[in-house]
Amino acid sequence: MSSNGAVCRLAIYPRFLRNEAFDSEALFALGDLDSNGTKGFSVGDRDMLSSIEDVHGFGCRSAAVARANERQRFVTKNNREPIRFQETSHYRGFYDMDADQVRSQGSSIYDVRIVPLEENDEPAHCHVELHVRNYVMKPSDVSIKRAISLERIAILNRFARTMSPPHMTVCGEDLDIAHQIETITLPPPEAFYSEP
Amino acid sequence: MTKSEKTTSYAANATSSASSTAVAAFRSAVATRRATARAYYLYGHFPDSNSEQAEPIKPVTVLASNSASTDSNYRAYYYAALYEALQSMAEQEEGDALYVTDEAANAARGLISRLAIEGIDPPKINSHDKDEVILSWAYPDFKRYLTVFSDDAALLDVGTLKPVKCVHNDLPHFSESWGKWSAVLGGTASSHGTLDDDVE
Repeated sequence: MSSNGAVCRLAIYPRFLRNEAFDSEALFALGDLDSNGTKGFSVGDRDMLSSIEDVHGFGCRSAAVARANERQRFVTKNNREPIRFQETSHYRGFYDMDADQVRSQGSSIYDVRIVPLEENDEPAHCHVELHVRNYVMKPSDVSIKRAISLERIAILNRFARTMSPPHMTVCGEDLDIAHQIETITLPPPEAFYSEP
Repeated sequence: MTKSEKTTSYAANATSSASSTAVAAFRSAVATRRATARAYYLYGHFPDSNSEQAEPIKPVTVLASNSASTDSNYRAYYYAALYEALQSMAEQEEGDALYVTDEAANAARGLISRLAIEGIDPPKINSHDKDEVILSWAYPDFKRYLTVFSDDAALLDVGTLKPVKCVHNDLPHFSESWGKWSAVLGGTASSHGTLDDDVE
């Protein structure tokens, strides 16, 4: 990735996130990447996904993979197929983030990296990773536990400030439920740090 | 005045309930946030300055004839949605990004109940770790984040215009004094007692 590049953050709505009690920041959920407290989320490399359509294609394929995985779990658990839209995940659009700004959001607790990581035959797939710095003790101490959690929140809050306004679409395979997907509007970036 | 109040106006806004201007500012913040939340609920998106005229904010319910009970209907509605959201997080598969453990969910339920009892505006919910539930409130000048652990909590305010932070390090361990937490969160613990006695 070039030093001035951008990464795109996909907005894929899982069913339960449509409950309005969720903070809009929950749309970009952090996953555990290892057992040492490293957290991260997936993004796409805009150097490899140069057009908006390229990103939407990446987003639709990513949502299809997510749906296939969810379907397997859903059928095992409920012994029936999930109801489309009401019980399935769908891609709604993406936000661009300035890669240099993302990398510069590290702190005394977390080191922020963008790591290319091909996944599901997607060479543009990357992780934004938050690594707890080596000298930070394990969170057994109360104040360190508090500090790590709050630092993570603060970094994500700053990430939102590196985002550009969203690009929205409805995937080709979702055209049958387009009227439902279009009821979801991606909020402007400032909503993540300034609105409920 | 505590050390944190001296260093930041955010803390002063939310904690100095003795000052009537602070109370007025706080009420106005809550009203603004409610109006936005209401519009988001009704229209599925955040209103911007251009669309506000085209889409007037209408009340959700006509059951109540005065604003106080309308507010309490709102509060009940949002608190119910909050419990439902927390339940769906606890029911996710372990490894899912928004999955939280039963211990974390129970701690959050307990805290959310306290907020509801004290008439504190309902927060939004999120999680970055299976052992933590994050509650958040948006005010005009800052966004407030409350992390709930199974046995403690942590509070952070981040400015809206600039990411200026106020970490409330002076708050005691959560299990020691709910009263101090309640005061910072805008609660009314002292007026009708607490769920358990504060250790002061």
